[in-house]
Amino acid sequence: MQVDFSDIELARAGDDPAFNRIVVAYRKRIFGTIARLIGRPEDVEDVAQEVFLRLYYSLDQLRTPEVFEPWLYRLTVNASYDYLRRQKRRGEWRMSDLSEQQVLMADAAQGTRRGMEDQHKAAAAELVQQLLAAVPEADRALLLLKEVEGLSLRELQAIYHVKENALKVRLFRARQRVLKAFGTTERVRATDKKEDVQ
Amino acid sequence: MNENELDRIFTDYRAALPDPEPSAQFMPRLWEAIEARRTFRLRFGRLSRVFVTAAGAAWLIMAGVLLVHSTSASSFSSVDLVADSHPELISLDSPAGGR
Repeated sequence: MQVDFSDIELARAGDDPAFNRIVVAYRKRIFGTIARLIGRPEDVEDVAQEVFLRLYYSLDQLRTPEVFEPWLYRLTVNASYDYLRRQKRRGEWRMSDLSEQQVLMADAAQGTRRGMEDQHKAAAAELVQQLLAAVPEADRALLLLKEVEGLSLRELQAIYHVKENALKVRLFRARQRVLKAFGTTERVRATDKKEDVQ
Repeated sequence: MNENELDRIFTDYRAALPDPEPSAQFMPRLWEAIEARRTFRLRFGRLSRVFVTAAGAAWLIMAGVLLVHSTSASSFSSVDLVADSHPELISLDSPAGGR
């Protein structure tokens, strides 16, 4: 826990300074989770606003301060889902929807020169975003929370309200889908390279 | 790709997207949004109380009108109403008006 239980109790009772302390303690972590869930850094702050706004108006429904963190994660995942659904309805493109060549051209147009490390990081992010697109939305969030955020199965149980075995099955299936998607991506790349050589 | 490689890719992804820093405007904007929703809730609450009170008053008035109407109507039976509108029926059927 990053805050005292007393602060959570006070915030539940309507104490604004206590709520402020909670936001300050958790905002960076929540920002990171949202950034990795939605993959659009420019919209992270708006989604985070929504998370803390929902937290403020739902704190009185929290049974005990012990379940605060899973509760906050649940709110974060839900707000990120809502954002992704809105984006899907609007049909907006994302950076990960562009081909590698288009991204390079966009970068060149902006006149940016990334270092080798930055390029590697960007490529890793791009690849994961592409692979995760092969997994259903709900399982994508589950996979990210487990594999990227490093949450334990126990914490995930508290967030999703499902049994450990069910979680393990979902995670296994999601990983298999990602592996399969990676195989497909590799095949496509190999074909493209062959065509380029010819 | 195997399971270990997948784990490595996820680790790289974690490193590629570190926790971003909130802007200086984050907290003021959050409190503005909280205040705006609070004001909206207060107004909505007030409006709904006014609506409930008005609906209750309207119900009482309607109940009063119906009560008065049914009391005055109960002094007349349906037979009286028919008799008023068709006096010839009464004169035919009554023993005094017969042969």
